[in-house]
Amino acid sequence: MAVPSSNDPNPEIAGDGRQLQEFVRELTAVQGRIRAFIVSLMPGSPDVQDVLQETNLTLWKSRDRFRPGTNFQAWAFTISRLEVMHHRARAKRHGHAHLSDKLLGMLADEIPTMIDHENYLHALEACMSKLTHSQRELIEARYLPKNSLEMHAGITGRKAPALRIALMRIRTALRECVQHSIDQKFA
Amino acid sequence: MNDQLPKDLERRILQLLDGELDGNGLKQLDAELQGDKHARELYLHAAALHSALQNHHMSRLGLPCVSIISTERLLAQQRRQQVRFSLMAAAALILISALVLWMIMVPPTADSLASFTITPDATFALTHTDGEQPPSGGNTLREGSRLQLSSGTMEAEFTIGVRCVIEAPCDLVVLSDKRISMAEGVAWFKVPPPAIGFTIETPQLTIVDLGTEFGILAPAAGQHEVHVITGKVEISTPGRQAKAGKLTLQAGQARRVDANGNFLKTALDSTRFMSALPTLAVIRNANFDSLEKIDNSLNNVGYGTIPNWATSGETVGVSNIDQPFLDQRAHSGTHAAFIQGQGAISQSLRGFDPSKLYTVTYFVSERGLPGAATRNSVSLDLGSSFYTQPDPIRKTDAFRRIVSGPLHVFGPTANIEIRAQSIQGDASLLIDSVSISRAVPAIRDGGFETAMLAARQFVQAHLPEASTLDSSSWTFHQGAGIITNGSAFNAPPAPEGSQAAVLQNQGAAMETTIVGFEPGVTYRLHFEASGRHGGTAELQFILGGKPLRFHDSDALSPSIGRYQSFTSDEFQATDDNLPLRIHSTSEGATFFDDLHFEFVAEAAENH
Repeated sequence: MAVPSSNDPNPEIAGDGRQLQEFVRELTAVQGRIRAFIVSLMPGSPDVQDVLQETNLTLWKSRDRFRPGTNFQAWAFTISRLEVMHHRARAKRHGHAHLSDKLLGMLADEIPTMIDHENYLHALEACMSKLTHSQRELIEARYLPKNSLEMHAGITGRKAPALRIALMRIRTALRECVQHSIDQKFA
Repeated sequence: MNDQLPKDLERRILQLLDGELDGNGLKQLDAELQGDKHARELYLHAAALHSALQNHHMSRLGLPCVSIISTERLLAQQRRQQVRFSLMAAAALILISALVLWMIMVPPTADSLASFTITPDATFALTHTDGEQPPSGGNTLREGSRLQLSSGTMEAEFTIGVRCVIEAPCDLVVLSDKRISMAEGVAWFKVPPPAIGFTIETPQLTIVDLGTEFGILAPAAGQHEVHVITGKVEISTPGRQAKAGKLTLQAGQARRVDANGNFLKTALDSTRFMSALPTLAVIRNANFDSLEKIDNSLNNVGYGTIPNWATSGETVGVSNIDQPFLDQRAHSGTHAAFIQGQGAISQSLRGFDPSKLYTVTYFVSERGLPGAATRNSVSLDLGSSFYTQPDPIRKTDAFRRIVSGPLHVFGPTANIEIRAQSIQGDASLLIDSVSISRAVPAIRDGGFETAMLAARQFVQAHLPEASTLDSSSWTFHQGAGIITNGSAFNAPPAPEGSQAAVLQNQGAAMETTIVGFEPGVTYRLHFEASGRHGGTAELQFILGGKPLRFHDSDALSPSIGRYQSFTSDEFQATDDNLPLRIHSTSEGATFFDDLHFEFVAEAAENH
């Protein structure tokens, strides 16, 4: 499928083409950050992907309001926050526990200055390379789809609770490594 | 990690991110995070890492890290009401399969008997006898079409001129151009003379129109009713089509049918039916002047219920201007609401369009005990979209205008809540004249109150270069400033709050940036202005580099000695944020106050 060009015979499409391209570029670029934003506001929720989808849908439907050069991330975070609230309102009816409204508000205000998703990803690559083979396997057991610590325990013959503790330590080490790496970059 | 943080904090954070923390653990962690900025920093780092690890591993498997929006999903939104054909292809590879929108609406076909529109919150299923599914069938009804509306409201116009508005839940089938069956629904019909004989069948009633406007209540479980608003209708029960079983109802009459098919008299209630798709509701008892149910005989303040409003907090109520809280002041009428200490007032409103933004406007002051000040905020949808006035509210001579700026809603019904929190002294926020409209930008310090001056004082910039003043968001240039009531300028009392702006002599100017326009939307600017005894300075308003016009003139010259209301000609916003510059073009002095925008019209559709 081609991007509408300025020679597009349909002037309506042609006129909007460049702006749409820019919109999609911004939307693509901000996906990781929106996801991290939602994960922070909905920790442990299996519905992060749903809320991300709703956010994208709302952004898409509001694309006419998008103006190139404006702060797309701020807009996307605002929409994400509303979608998280919307989701919480629905989930509350089913008795699911959540972060308090007050904490959610504090986090949502503080995240924009915290999240630099691209830097996290780059730093993470470097830090992952410092892990031992068995440490990487343990991280994969937690994060690769269709894997689990229980399965990994069965394969390695180790106890799942022990693996859980080891995983915590690895993630703490990774977090410190990533943070150190980012701090150094901006020092 | 900060050494002051509990040693097991990160473990519990990771448990939370893994969904393995129980309710009590969550509660405790929540409180810890609220109380410690460093703990929140740690949490946000851990969450960012968690998300990055998920992305890292999904991308290793070639799974999309972004969400997929399916075409079906988009179509299922069913929120469009206009003929559109839009095909979009994305340059970004990952979204090519994700963000393809193909919305088609075919013009009504020759055999269409009616077309319909729906509210933004509506969800419906439309099927035709030939099995053709929307969207290719468009929002049209043909013979045999079945429309099942599970939420929202629809308005249909039949080719023979019949108009109807039906609220969900509704299930109707078009039997012919003059006959429909409705298994369930709350419906209003208006039938013009050429369509006399138009018939609606419900499981309990058959209604034949004889030239009229009427409503039908047809719940899935319960007795069905017909209410004749004008003209007359003939009603019968299915299976009882003998003449004896028919009854003609006149305007003002209503009947419900019992389980045995008997028609029972019931009171006409035309308010139960919508005759048009809902528009934004009016706030009830917005001025707090409704005396219904107010009982403040037990005290001399007015603590207690506020008609049409829900309240939270023990010390909330309505006072009249003779009672001590108001001290002869109300923004409109004779009463205002108050919140002493902390609390909130709220009201649920319907008619919102969730795809649009809204602004709440209201007027506040403070009772005025020594040193008292209140923080106040307004929210929609139970606080999910909110505005907090940046400066504290203290006692002012006239009430201050609070404009929320753009707020979101999630659905057609939203809760508007005004909240107050005492931040100093024995504070009581007074509230009056609450209204809601499509969104307008909030002019920060449009009433020139945020930089609070001492009584009877004024401040004025002396240099041509921009000067700032405390918390005011304006910059001031040579001869521009802020005055309080009773200052040496001898200005009339400020119409909003206790302070106003002044521009003195040619070259005086004030500037700020207005945030929150919607490009393409049409607005007007309102304000009050007065010339000074001894000479009025002519003013110009430059918004986004272009002069605002007043009755086709670029400049205005207010009368001397009294404030007049001014309204700019309509203008279309060209950007989200626009700089506003107000300057004088002649000698003399002009005072102005209460700048605020009015929403006039939506942006023109680009289709």
